[in-house]
Amino acid sequence: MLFSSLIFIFAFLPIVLALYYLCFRKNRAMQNFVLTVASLFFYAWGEPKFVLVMIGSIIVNWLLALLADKNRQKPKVGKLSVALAVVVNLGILFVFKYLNFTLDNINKLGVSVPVTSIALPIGISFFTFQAMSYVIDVYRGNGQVQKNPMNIALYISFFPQLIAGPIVRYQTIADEIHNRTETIEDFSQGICRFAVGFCKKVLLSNVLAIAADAAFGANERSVVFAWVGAIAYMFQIFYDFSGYSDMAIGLGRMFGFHFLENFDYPYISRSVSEFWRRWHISLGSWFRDYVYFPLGGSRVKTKSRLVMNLFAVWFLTGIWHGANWTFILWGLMYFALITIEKLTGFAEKLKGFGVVYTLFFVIMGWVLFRAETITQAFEYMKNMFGIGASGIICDHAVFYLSENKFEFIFAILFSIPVFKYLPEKIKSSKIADAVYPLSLAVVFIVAVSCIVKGSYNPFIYFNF
Amino acid sequence: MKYKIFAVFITVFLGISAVMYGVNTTKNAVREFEDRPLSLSLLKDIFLFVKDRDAVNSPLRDSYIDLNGAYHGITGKNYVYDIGADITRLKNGYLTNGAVEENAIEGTAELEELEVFQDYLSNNGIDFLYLQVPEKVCRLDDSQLHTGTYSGFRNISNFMQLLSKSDIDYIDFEKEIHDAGYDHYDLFFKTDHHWTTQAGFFAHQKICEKLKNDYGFVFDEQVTNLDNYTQETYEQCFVGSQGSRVGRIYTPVDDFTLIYPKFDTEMTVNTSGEEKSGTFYESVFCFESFSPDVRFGRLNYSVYLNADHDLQIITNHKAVNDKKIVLIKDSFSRVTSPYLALACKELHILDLRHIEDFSAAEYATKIGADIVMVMYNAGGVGLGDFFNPTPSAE
Repeated sequence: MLFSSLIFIFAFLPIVLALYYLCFRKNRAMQNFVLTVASLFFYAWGEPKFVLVMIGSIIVNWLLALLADKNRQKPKVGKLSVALAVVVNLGILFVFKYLNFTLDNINKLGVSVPVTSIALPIGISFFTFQAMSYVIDVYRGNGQVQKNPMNIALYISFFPQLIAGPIVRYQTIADEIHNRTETIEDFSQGICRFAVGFCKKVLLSNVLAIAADAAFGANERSVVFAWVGAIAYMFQIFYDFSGYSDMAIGLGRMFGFHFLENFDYPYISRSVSEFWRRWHISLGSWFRDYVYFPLGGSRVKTKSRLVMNLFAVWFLTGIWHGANWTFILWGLMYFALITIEKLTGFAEKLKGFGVVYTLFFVIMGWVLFRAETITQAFEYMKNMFGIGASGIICDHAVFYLSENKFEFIFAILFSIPVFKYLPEKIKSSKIADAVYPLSLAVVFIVAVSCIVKGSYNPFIYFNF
Repeated sequence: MKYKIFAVFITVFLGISAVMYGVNTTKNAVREFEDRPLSLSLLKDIFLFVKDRDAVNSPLRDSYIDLNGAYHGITGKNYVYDIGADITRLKNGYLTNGAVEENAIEGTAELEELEVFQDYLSNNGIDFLYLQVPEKVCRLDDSQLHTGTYSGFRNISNFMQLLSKSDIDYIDFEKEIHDAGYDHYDLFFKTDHHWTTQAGFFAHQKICEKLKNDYGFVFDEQVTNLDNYTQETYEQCFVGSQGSRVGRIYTPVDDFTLIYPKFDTEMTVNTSGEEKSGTFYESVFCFESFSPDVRFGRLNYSVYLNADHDLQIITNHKAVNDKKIVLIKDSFSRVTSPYLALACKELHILDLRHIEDFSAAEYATKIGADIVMVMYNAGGVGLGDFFNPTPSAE
């Protein structure tokens, strides 16, 4: 089930809210039960068979966390539990996400092995990482172990962040599972955040996706068309992903949970390092806390060890995004850039030009990310610089720019923190109190009309 | 404060929408499955019905589509993406099926098919006439298209060039319209892919002229004179196939004109065995799907012969000749064929998209047709096999 679907907006969400707030207002256990069952139903709606994989993962991780908690004073047993959790979760991830890819590549090396075609359960990259986070955080003492498996089921399968993140650390919400307080302020801000995310996804991302798909799918493209497609994709993925995060954070808040921010205007970054502190923050911090720091992080004795640590993180980041050499190369591109930045510090000297430098590589990275093969990516990049392109400009470039002029303008506008710089006087004025809800309401209903009409609504997380 | 105001609005909005959605879905599901006994497979089918048709079950669907059209209009979009079929708004405001890549046919295979068919008919003493219906986007002038877009129908320019050099007799209605001095677009609905009833009558006039001059048909001249017909216009009542996808605000809605004889007529329309007899008005027009109210006028084009059927036979009881015509067609001929039936004794109308295991060639021979006509728009060129058609559904 997608957030940007009618069944979610008009059926699932109202029913869950009604059960949560009207039927079980004073019973926390029942409220948690409702959320858990609803979350499993939410997942099963789109993946009826794979919900069993998730339930299996919940049970195993619950048991391993109990073991880790019980044996905190016995380091060997405790560490073994954590190791088992990592192996099991990564094992599940490997089988469903990477086995096909691995066997394909082994076959390409000339070794003949049977090929599989295992389907990828949606959201598996998110819920396996969350599950690992639970066991590790319990072992580290960063959250109380949950004796009731339903509470772990709630944490791992909670529908707001299940299929597209953010990756919520157990320690972030451990306390809120039992001790959260739902307030009107939280609910109000949550619902606004959800609506904003919904509008980003439907009115910006979905529309720009059409231009991006056309450019990447074209047999030939002009220089301008290639850039239009690349920039369209840059905004498509940003508004899709950040839109989903907004919806997740908003939904969480509606039920009293407070997830951490996942995006912080990444396209104003002045260095690639800064970009990754603003883009998909939950993933970056997950790898930082569970891979980079345990390896020693930056506080290592030699530069070669630092480079190795960075390589590990960025290789894993790349491959986490999908089982394709394009993702691995994409991750390694960032490894190279961040390593150079850390070792030379040159990005700091760029000052304002750093934004241009960062955006350039981010856009190239997205071309790699979007392409189906490395060859296709390089052909596309060559077109961007006039090599093999069908001229400087073409009818398609004019068409997609003309048709999507407002979307491009608003995409650029909302990717920079313009509203932050509005005077406080205006932000807290009565006019703002009227204009904000009215304009959001209009835009939200227009976005709903796009879903009713059956407009283009791509789901780009099938790799995750 | 501003968040609370919005929260109140959205809570009320979702609550009301949820109730309406639930009612709509239940009503639609009951209508779909009311004859089925309770079983596991029924529950599975209901689940899939709800899952796959959530947009169709939306409350106030038409209003949302109107709003969506308004949004596309305000943001200056001339191309509306749709899961079913993309829509382009031409520079003159007319809607058409849109495409961003050209879809042209080479035409040789399609022409060969017609030549083989003509040879077969000729060997059986039956004449053959090919009728090319114009597409909404003028083939002779694409200036109304926006840069970077193409017509959603196929480009048949190559095919028409090959046809003109072949020995197949044909009428190119696009050229006829142009030569008669009409504005191409005046003969099409703004919101539907079909041409108007007036265009259909014009086509009838051209066909009868050819039948008379080249094929020796004799008929009452009054059947081709528009002055002998009543034109009953219902204003602003028709939102066609393309308009339905973008709503009533994106582009103006259409008028719809019924054209029927003032002179005496007596006809029988046999539709797959079911007969309807009476005057032209009584037998040809089917008002079950017709409405002068734009909210319900989506199917007004079906007033002519009640949509497309595998086989319809129109018998003209006041015919002055014994001619039998077989017309192999798509939906565009529905506003032409009833008038054509006034110029012959029997008109047999075949729609190969809706027939299985049926040979149009053998049928024409079996009934002793005098002439077979194939009447297709660009999308239908090469559609179906005249000897053993299998459904090549839309």
